[in-house]
Amino acid sequence: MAASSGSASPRTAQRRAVRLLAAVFVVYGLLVATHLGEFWPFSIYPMFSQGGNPWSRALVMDVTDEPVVRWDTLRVEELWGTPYPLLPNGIDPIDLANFVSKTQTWDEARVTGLQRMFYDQLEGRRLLVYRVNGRLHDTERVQVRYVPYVLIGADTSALHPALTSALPAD
Amino acid sequence: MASLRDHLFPTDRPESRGFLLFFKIFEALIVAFTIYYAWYWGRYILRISDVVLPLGIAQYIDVRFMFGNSLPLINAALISGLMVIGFFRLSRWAYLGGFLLLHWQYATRFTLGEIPHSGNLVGMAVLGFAIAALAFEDGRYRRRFVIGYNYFFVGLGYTLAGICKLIGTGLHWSDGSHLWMWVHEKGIDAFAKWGVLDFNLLQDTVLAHYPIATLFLTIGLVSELSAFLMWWRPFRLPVGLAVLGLHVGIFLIMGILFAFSMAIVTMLTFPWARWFDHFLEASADPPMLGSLTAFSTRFA
Repeated sequence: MAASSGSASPRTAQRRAVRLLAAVFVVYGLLVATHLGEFWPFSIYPMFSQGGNPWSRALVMDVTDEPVVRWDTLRVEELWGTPYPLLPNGIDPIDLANFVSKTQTWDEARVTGLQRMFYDQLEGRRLLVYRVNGRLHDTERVQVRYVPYVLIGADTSALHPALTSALPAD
Repeated sequence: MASLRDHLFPTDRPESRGFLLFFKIFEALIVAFTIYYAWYWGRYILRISDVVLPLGIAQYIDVRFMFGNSLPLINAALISGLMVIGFFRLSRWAYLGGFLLLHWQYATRFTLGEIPHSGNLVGMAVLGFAIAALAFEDGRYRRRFVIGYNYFFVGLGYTLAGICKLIGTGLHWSDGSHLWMWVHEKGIDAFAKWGVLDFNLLQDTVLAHYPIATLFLTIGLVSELSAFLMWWRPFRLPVGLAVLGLHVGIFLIMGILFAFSMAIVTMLTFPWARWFDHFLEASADPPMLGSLTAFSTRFA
């Protein structure tokens, strides 16, 4: 990119500015058009564009003191264990939600990746990772259900029985 | 009547001391935000060991060699150094290097499925500074380009967000029940973050009153769709205030704070240059502002 001379007229500089803006705009358009709307920092900003669609998040419960692990789908008032706050422990909940919802095959590498996300916090602790599903519902307005997915400790892990075949429904 | 190019790039307008001060503060904010992201993302990469969804350049280059070592922190240090070099005008290529390495940091950080948009305006602004540094030797034109470029892409971004909603859902995107869904969704995010499930008064209100929820979404959508009007000078204050109001609403109802985006919009909304000029003229020797103005002129 050749720099304009310091003595360029205001009109010449303005024309150059417009051409550069147009060039960035074209590159912006090409990159988002060929990369599903996202090529940072270029974006079509599609967040919250799909109104009313079901959503999926994640929640972690500390079940260290629970003798038995249950794999039932629950409502919020039925949750057991103690909520494990992610942010004070340096974990981005949206990362975890995406990790859980976008994982198609729960192989060893994926479970190890999940354990690594919790870093050094699993020593002497058992955490149950829930997938939380929400959808519009006639009587409940918004129905929210908690599906236990993965139990992780420092050296142990267990998957919801259905994860080895089909994903559990909410 | 002035054309759009005159509103975005008024290259024939003289620069006041207030404008130089405004510009350097804007640049300092972008440099600070960039350095913050470089380290924030860099430290988080230390926790990652797998790629779930590659973004940006990570779709073409395997970024896994960045995992399990201190390369993300070295990259953060390089970005920080380049941004400081750019800020003090020690190299014209520094901002471009900083931008490219920041993209690499982003692509390495966001491999787990999340596609955040909180840093997009910062990234676009860094790119603007990089292009300006390389394309314009004359500082006057460089500064006019940076500011006009930011008005253009900030306005475009918010308007695109509104258009996506119309395409993705249609005119009934403003249906209040959709806001119920997002309030619950973000409520679960807060539950996961802090271990407490609780809704504030405003969230309870929109959950209880469908018309209020619909009204809030309608105001938000109109604010986004009209954001491109900030390309023209007379609309910058009202449109900027509407966008800032949108962000305040998003924070109060959904708990999402786009702090850096709000700072950028705040800088672009209010007539800071005029206010600084007024203050500099009114006060014979303003101690703090005077020093800042001298610094801004030195490194403009």
